[in-house]
Amino acid sequence: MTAHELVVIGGGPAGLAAALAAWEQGVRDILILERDNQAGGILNQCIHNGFGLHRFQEELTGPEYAGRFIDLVKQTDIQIRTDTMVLELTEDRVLHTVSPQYGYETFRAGAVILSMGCRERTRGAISIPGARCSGIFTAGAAQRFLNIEGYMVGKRVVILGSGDIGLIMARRMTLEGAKVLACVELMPYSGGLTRNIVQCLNDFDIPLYLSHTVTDVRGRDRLEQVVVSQVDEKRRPIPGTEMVFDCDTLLLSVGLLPENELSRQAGVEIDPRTNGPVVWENRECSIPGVFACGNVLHVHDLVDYVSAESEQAGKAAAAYLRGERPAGTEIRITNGSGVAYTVPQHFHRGTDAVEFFFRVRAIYKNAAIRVMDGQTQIARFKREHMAPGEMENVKLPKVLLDRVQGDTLSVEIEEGAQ
Amino acid sequence: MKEIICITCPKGCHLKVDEESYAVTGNSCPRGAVYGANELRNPVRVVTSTAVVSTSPDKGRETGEAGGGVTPRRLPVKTDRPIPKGKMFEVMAEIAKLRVKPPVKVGDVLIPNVAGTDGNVVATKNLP
Repeated sequence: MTAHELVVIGGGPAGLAAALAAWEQGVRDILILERDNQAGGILNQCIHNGFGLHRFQEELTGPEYAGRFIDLVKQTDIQIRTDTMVLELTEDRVLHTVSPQYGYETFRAGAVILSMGCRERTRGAISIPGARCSGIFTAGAAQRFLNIEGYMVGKRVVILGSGDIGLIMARRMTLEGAKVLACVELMPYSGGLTRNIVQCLNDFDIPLYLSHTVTDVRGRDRLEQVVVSQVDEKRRPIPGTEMVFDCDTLLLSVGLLPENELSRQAGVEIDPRTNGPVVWENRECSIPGVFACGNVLHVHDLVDYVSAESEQAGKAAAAYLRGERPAGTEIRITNGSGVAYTVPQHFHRGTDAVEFFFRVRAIYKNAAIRVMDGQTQIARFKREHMAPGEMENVKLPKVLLDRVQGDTLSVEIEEGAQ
Repeated sequence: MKEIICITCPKGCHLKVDEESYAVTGNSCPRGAVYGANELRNPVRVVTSTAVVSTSPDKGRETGEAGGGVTPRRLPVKTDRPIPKGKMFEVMAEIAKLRVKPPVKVGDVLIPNVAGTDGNVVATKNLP
């Protein structure tokens, strides 16, 4: 068994940023374990632009954004082991791995950062009825086939779900010569960023059917037809509204799930609202010395926020390795009306400023975010526009946090605020 | 009047743009007026795609190095500035003809003035 000060699981944008932050804080023995054959994670297949507007004030493509972090890592002694799959993480921070080059190995870590990212929901997860033919892919799988391996997955395409990956793939497949017939969304609003609706669907006259879903899949070997129906307010298909599309490919962009098998196995407490670990304000999990950041913690819309969050985790891991432990009693954060979840889920009384990230449950216009200590309002932030597809955040400075009397804060939405 | 959605910020204002005077209504900030007028006058987009890498795949493994690994089959590329929207498919056709020989660095020009535009197709990833 080899020992390292810090082991980072996953060499995507979260792992790279966390490792760099820990390095800058003086940690010199850092190992990143990556299961793919290169670092950079999902950014390698996200060849479109629009990354880094917040962080670098320019529009980069995914590979360019990842490349900047990989270049910085190369200037350090941080080790990246590619082609290495972590099989198990134990509560006392021992990692069991396997790789073609070194076979089975174990590592002992002074601190661990979980940055495994997330996985796409599949056909099985949303129970689409119909034939079990080929031609049905998650949008991300199709993206990998096309952008990394160089294969087109089909010629006539229907996309279910209007998440960003689905929208991006609608444009990408169209540019590569496929006909994208429709993008179908169960909800009455899109789950993707507005800019993607405009640049990926409207630019190519691809219709977006809101409040619709796929109700049948037909085909013997390869997909031949997809049936799309309108749904009512309770998301039940309305008989008589069926549309039939002749297509050979159905792409699914129906949500992402943080990939926490390793975390669960280790006994890390998981929040059922985010499907990610429960963390403190420094991104430390329920197991001391284990930190989480990026999409494994909660699904982000923008990689810029992943990098920022991961730097927090990297810094905190460095502090942990120096023997520093946060003091102060626990203050829990609950989601009040209109709020689906918050990250972090709790923080230490007396800490510095805390930035809360969360998602709202519906579309709000001219609303306000309220942070409540029982019946007392601690802070209020006006927002002209909020949507479930766009992560919100508010930052509470120490002076406000020090006013908290109780042991629970609630983040809630006030409608119709002027 | 043409109706478009502003993409300058996440709000997504529904703009109405006059086809002759390029006057914009429905915007809630000045940036929306600029976007709306430009979008009708001369809409431009950055095109991103991938190009064929002309070495045999799987030539060898260099595990342990950041960004190393198997020689990739495709190199991601982009236009280094937004090009007229109507030229997107021409740009794609030119990228499809590309055969890239390593080594290539991020920002290397692969097709200058692609499809008669003032944009160049450049690499967005290092290919050692």
